[in-house]
Amino acid sequence: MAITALPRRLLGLLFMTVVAIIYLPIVVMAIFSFSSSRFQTLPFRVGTVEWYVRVFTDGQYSEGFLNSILLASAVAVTATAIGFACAYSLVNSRIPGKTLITLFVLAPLAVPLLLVGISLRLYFAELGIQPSLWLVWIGQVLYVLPLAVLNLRNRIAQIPKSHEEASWALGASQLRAIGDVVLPACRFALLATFILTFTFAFDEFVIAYFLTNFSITLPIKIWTTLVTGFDPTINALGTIVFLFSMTLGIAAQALFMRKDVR
Amino acid sequence: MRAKSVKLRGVSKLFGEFEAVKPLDLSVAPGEFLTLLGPSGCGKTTLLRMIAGLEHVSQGRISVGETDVTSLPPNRRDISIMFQDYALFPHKSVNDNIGYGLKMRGVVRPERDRASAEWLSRMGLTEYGRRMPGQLSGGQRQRVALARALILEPGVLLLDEPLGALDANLRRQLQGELKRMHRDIGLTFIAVTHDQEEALTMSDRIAVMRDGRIEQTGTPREIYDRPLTEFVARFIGRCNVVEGKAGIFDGQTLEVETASLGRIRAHAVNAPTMGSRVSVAVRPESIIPFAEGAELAVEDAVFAGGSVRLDLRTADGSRIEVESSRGEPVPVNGEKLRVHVPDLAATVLARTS
Repeated sequence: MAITALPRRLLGLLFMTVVAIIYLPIVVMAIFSFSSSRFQTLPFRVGTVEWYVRVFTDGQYSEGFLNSILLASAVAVTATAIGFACAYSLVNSRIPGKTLITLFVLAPLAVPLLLVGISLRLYFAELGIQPSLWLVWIGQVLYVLPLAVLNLRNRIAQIPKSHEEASWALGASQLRAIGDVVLPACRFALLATFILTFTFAFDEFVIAYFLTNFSITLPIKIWTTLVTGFDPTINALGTIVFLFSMTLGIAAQALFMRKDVR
Repeated sequence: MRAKSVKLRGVSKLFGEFEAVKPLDLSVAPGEFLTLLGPSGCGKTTLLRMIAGLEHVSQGRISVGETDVTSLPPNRRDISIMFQDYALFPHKSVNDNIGYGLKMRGVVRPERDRASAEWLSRMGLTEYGRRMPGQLSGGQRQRVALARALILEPGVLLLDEPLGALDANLRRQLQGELKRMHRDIGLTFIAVTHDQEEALTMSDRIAVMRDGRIEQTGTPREIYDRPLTEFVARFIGRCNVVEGKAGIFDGQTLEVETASLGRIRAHAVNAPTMGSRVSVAVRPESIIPFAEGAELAVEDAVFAGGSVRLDLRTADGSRIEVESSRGEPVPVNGEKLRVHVPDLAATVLARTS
């Protein structure tokens, strides 16, 4: 379908509008993170990094930050490992109904997080398990697993089957062949999957909010800070988190696009 | 090295409802170079993969030497396989690729490296041990793949489309190289190809496959000169197939009365009923133009360098292809031409399929 000049210009405009709507609040936040006023009001008074210094020095975010880093790392490792196993099986099994199983694995992507959070909370309550970061770990693994499976499945499908078969024919067990042939061939995809799932887990709020009690993550800390009254350090923290996530996201994307195999 | 025989008895393969390989027998003598030849989808690769142990056998037994290997894993069959894409491990050096099989057998690194260096020098790749497969040319990759397979000193080497990944020039050169290597190391080679020229030039014996069956087994000469079926005749090189009526059979020669080429004395293995219809195959280069025989009209004459290709029409409109040597004059289109089919130049085909 040919797109003529006018609709193309309209599409361009639409695209720019969408980008602006997404990024404008972030830009505003970033600008105000340098404002010396205690309140987020105009006129904008330029010129301080005080809020950035406070984020790191006054310690109110350190517990949340530490928890989030640990949690996101654990979630990313788990999801990448399970995701690899799932993806490998999906690519290599000859079982009927593979498409259906694939859909089933990927379906959680479409389920609203609120539902995931609530149902997991109720489920664990029924089992008599108290909310904690451990439950958040499980919940977030469920949440990011489809991403891991999807990414790794695409990569594994690109590896010629003959490489593994050659390895078997030369005497390797199936597990050994995976370690010697498949894993090295998807090392960048694995790293990218780790980073991507880490980013998603690090930013995730809903599941964490429902499944933890006393140990809080950074997004929960930010939220509670916001509801109890505005604190200018939030702007600085938000900007930091945004840049952090964006960097990781771009890194993951770059890794995915990189060819593991010549 | 010690070459081993390979025997298949009643081997078949089912993929669901689909019979990729129908129950078949095949034996390969120790030291023989056998090629499985056929169009894509004929089951040749599946058959090779079953011999390698990469595919389960639905029925039948496979033995290598005196050992029944039907249920043994690939690495315990005394067989090595070279894949069409060579399947070199891209993230391992040439040395580590070649030594991989030995590593799996628990051979320590110094010994592996020594063996690998020895094979590299045999393959004329002495300086290439530290390179990665991506830094090698197609021909070099093939030699590394061969070294990786042969370092385990198998009794049988399987080659899946050994030259399929290479361009035409290199292919011809390596056909000779593979053949020489086979002669030098004296192993049993079983190769798969869809390229008839490759099969003719490399093999001691060819098994032509079609729809999961072996249609004919024989030396390249037998397959080319004495095809048993129209499929084999047409798959290996170009061929004229004409219909005729069976006449007298003298134990080797059958007289056939054809509408297009007149009376032919063709090679036959058994006597069909007198007067029954038979098909006869005759190669374009076996027909002698400008001689006493059936009169045909020249539809087209093309100078093809080493020969002249004549496209002829019979009285009933069917087409006969003739290849004459370059010494002969090139006839004009529409000209009438008499051709002769020498005794035993043609072969009576089995009336199957």
